[in-house]
Amino acid sequence: MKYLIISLLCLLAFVSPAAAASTQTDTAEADYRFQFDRYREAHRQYQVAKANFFEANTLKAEQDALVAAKSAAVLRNEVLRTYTHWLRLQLLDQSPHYPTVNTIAPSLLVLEHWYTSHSAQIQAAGALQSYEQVNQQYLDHIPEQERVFLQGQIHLKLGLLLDFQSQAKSHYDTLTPTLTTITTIPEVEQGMTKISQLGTAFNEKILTVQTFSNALEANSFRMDRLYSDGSNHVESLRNIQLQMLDLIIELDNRYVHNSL
Amino acid sequence: MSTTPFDLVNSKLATFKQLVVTHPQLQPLFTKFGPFWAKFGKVVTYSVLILTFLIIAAVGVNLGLNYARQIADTTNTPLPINTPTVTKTQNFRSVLLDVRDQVQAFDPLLPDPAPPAVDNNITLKQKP
Repeated sequence: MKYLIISLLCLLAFVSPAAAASTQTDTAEADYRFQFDRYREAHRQYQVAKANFFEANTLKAEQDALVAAKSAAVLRNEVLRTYTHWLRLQLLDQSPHYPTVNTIAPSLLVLEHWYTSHSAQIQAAGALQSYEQVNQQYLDHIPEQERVFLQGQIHLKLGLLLDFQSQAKSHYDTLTPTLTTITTIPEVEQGMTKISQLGTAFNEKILTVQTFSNALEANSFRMDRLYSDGSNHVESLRNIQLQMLDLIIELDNRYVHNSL
Repeated sequence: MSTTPFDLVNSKLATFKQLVVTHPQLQPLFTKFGPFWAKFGKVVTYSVLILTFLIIAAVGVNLGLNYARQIADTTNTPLPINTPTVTKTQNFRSVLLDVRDQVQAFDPLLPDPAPPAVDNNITLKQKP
């Protein structure tokens, strides 16, 4: 029995940390969706209470509308906080092959704390005027929120592409010893040179996208344009990667495993 | 040595001839019936021969038909052909094909995951 328990503990100790991280990410996503459902209901009640307040214009209606608005605003913050948490965990999942995410994730954590703090301020607002002041703080904070979200999303894309890149590289490294012995074949030499060039182009493009992401702070926010520019960068990265993968697969099939 | 009906009739006829010699009063009867028995014997002999031939022919035809039916029922199996041995090609599948499929399916569009579409201005101010 003692050995059985020790064996089970050893087994648990060797369970992949990546799998555990993935479970955390799934839980975070489920929490985000749950909060979104709660927010929808609260927002519906806020709209009803607000309409009653504008129509009746009584103290009772005002108080009811204030309670409903505060509840909706707190749950909106909760939706945004859980979304930020989910995005942060997705980013951290990429950290083994893209350590840069460790420098991006803290800004998402700061944002999470901001929502918690702001919710406390909403709860503390006892009158219409103080609530509107707190609401204005939220409105002023939106550009920062959008910047952090976009940065996180861009780096998440980079992390996923770099995961593919590291898989491709590790496989190519196993082929290189065989390929270097047959560089007398012109196609092999050309293929290896082209792969090397594409690898360099990929790394340069990664730097370009990172610069783009860092420069977001200085930009005035036109989100559609930024999303479009970011998508174009990511797409060109993906195209470089596809070309490189095709070349590696062809060299592997034709010259290493001779199956073509 | 088998005795045909014709031989029997002939022997009876010879006996009857002797009777005619010893008994002359039988001469008119002999004259009347003698050629008839000779003809009767020939007819019987040829009839038996023809009947035997027909029976043998019928049995032969029947056997032939049965044999033909048996041949028709059997399935014709062709002779085995010596097939040439094909050299097997190893079907290699690169592990990177799966990675390539994932990259192909990778969606470059931002924002992803899309931020929640929430009401950014939960206010109780009247719209102007």
